Amino acid sequence: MTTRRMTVIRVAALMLTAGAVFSGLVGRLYFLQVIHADETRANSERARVYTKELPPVRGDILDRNGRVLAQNEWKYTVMADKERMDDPASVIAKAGEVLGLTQEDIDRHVESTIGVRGRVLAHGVSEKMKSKLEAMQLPGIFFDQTDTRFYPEGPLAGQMLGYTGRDNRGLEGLELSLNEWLEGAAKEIIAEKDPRRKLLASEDYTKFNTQGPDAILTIDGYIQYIVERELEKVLAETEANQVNAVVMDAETGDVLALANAPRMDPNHYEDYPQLVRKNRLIANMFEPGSVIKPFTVLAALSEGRVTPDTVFFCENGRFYFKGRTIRDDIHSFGNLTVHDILVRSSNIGTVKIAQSLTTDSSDWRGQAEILYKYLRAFGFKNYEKSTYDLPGEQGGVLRKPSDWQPASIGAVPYGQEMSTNTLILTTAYNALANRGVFRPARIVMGFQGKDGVFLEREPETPYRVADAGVAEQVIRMMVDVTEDPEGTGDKVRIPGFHIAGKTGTAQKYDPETGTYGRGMRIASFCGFFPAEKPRVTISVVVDQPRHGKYGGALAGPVWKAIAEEIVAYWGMAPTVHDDPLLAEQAKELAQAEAERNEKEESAFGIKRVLPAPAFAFDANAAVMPDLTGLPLRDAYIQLRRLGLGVEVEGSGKVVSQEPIAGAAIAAASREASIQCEPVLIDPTLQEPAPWVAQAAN
Amino acid sequence: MKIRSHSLINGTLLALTLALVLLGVVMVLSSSQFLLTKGTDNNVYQYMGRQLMRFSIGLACLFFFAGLDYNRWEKWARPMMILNIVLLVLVLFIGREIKGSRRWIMGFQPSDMTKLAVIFYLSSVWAERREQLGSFFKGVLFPALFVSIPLALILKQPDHGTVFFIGVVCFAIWFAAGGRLTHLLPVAAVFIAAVVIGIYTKPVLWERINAFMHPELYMDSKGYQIVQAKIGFAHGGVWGVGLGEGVQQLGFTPESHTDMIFSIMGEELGFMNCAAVVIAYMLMVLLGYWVALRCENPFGSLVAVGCSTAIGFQAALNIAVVTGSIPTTGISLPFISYGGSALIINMIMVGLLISVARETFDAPPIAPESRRGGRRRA
Repeated sequence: MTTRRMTVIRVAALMLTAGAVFSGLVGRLYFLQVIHADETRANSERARVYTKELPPVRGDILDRNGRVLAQNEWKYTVMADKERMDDPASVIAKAGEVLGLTQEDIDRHVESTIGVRGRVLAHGVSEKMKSKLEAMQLPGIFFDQTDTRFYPEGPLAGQMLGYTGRDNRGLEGLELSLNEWLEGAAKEIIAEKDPRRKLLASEDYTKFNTQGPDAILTIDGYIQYIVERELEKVLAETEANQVNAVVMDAETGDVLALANAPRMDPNHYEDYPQLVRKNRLIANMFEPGSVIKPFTVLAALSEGRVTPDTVFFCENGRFYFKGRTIRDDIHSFGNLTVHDILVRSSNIGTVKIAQSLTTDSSDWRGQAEILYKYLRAFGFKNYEKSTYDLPGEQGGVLRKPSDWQPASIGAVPYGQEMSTNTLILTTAYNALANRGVFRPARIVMGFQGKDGVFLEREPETPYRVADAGVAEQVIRMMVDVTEDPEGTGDKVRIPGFHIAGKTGTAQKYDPETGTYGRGMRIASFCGFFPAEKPRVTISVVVDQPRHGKYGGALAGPVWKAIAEEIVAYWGMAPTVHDDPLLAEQAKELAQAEAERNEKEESAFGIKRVLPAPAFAFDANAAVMPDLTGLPLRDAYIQLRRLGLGVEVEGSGKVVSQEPIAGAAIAAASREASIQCEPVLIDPTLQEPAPWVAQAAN
Repeated sequence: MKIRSHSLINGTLLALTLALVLLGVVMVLSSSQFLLTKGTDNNVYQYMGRQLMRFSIGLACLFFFAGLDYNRWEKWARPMMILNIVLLVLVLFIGREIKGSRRWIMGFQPSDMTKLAVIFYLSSVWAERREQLGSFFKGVLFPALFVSIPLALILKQPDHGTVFFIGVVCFAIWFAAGGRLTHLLPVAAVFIAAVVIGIYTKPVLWERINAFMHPELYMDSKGYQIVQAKIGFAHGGVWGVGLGEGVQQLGFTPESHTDMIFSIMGEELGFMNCAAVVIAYMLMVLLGYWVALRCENPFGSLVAVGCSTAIGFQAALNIAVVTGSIPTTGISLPFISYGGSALIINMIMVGLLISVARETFDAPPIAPESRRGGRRRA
């Protein structure tokens, strides 16, 4: 074989080899791209396209005006992927410095072989810190976001709102009871991600987030604030165990404020003792004492057994009754009418009234059954809940008449041997205020979906529990509790309004000694106003004050302070124009006006406004000012200074007014009206919250 | 079939080369986009621009080598080997270290030059002393030892893939030169044994084998790019998803603009175009071998075998790796991959093939100084 020939053969062999190899590669490509492509693609969808269950964003909790009480805040988990770092030690050290990690922690993260590709450096990192880290462009540092609960108003309504755990599920309060609503439904998304664990740029991750609906409460954040402020004040003065109060819209049964003191900031709930975290207003029950007396009187009046003028002998302050001594605390009374028994709060008189419920005064069982019937009708509970919205409720104790002792009729009529909570008590008083029509309390107004649909929680249908005329009689007596010089609540006066109320001073049952403890008392004041057509019902309970003793003296001033603020906030026009207090107040206010301190800021950064300053008509300022854009209360005070009665619609900032700006105010027409719309904290929400409009209808 | 005119072969070679290089430029542009988002420089054309610059240099070199009589390189073969060895030693000391290897010296990889030097050297040795091939010690061992010096230096960088690749090119030249099978087969066996032992003793290489066998177990490291490449091919299907539309290049496929560029082509251009590219390589190699087969000048014939094998084997090796047919070797795709000196060397090889073809198919080689005369003739 010649060399030449061999070359030809060998090169030809190489050609064959090359041809075979390249043909093989084309075949391989055909397999990969055509034959096997679908299967690989299906598998790769799993590798690259991943299904992620997006936890829904928890709904906010808002007050009736759209003010945010609970919302979400994005927090970040910072993770380190050491395989993406050329020098993990320095990168982690740099990140650790920003995150405030200790040298020990940093060393641990650097050395550890666990979680090399995703070691968690810090949880709960703020947006600000995240951007700082991002700006440093550290390789291998990435973030995972989670939402955590944030309560922008701090401790406002803290115990009522409750709080959530780290998984953002409700643990207490409304957060717990409304959890299923707020949580919403999780949604699965299919997303493509690149190897740096970020979603491909073409997709906006956040738009897939589902959101739970917002819960709209009946609470008015401003009233809640006033109540809490006043409660904190009295708590400090009396060093009571705890103080609580409920403010209810008398016309609807909507709870406007439900407050406890001491307060609890749900942003830092771990810092508070278990006792303070609880919504004690709901979770604790107490013996109400004298605040029950109106219902006993009402029972007797309804049964036609007594009239307000029926006279009972009050045993001069000591009444031996079935082995017990019933006392009248401060004064001892001889003969008193039913009216005076209630006004002066005679225990003995009340027992006598209860005994008159049956023709045979010794038929205690019959009396018990009648009294029980009325108390039940007004909503007093026996180990039942009054609302499902506030978890942990102890509904109170009201034994069935068959379980009563013969001596019980000497206790229950004035609020002993039974217990209740402030919400139940307020609801019962509200039924009185409505002339015998019972309206169940409502705390959650409804839910506002992110799609704009508002689902209202219909208030339960009101129903009559007592005759209107009888209720009217009781209310007249209750007005004298505050207005009669002999009344126990004579400190509770607001110029221009009749207030119907009742004081309560209950001895506190001491579980340690099994008796009514000496010096352990619960002072309370429940009532509503204006008595003629009540707009608001308020209860204040001071539990075990160290200083002071009686309900009228302790709870009364708190009640009054809250009521005065509501008068100013709502711009309530006086209903009693001939009230001598009005003239007196006008004089005082004119003096005080110069010194008036307007600097005190409210929780919402709006200047606090003291009660309407003057009622005297100022003939000189005869032109209507432009109020548009002013906060409601500023507008209100201007109008009041002009001596105008003000009709207010809505709340927030003034959007329109009547008469218009610049119009002469005729001395004859002393009415002005302003329409307001809520000021929303979120500036991106251009439109007023729909529930405000719907709720107004 | 008898190809009479060198111009058909040379025209085809040139057209294929230009087509592949320009396709490469486009693919580099397409596949470097994501890479750019990492840095602060947002010039999307920066990779393509550099590739175009190299392309122009390469084209100049191609024409220069095509125009020169290749026979003059015969006497330059040994000096080139020595120069290359010097450069390879230098690179070990002053070379830039990238990903743990020192391969670069002023943007140039001396190991690319080694390919050319070795082809020239072995071709000249075995063309001069073809009769000595019968004697193992004289004809084979001495050149083999000399060639193993630069190979050992490259191994030191380390760049195992290139050593293996050059080794195979040497075998092809030896085989074509008429090396006796009684020598060839045992030496090949030793070479394979050395490769196996080398792989077995280097954990880095052993892991590549494992990753090839069980890519799913190595999703975090070595298996990852192959799995991603396969996904890319599957995603591309028959016609591809379109230039720049591929998802794999968004950082899924590492080294998407260099070694793995073919998988990006697979996704964006589809099977039809990929097959066309493979066939283009095959055509180039077969044309190169055809030139070698027809060339009666032993040196020219062996240079043609060396260059064809170098281009073809490189392409086959890269495509086989990217399609997951063999374990990872770290060889880039000739003409298409983004890369400095490799592109220029490959274009020089095409220039050499053209030069050999000119002489073979009845065209007297033209020296640069006689070019003017050549033109006048035309």
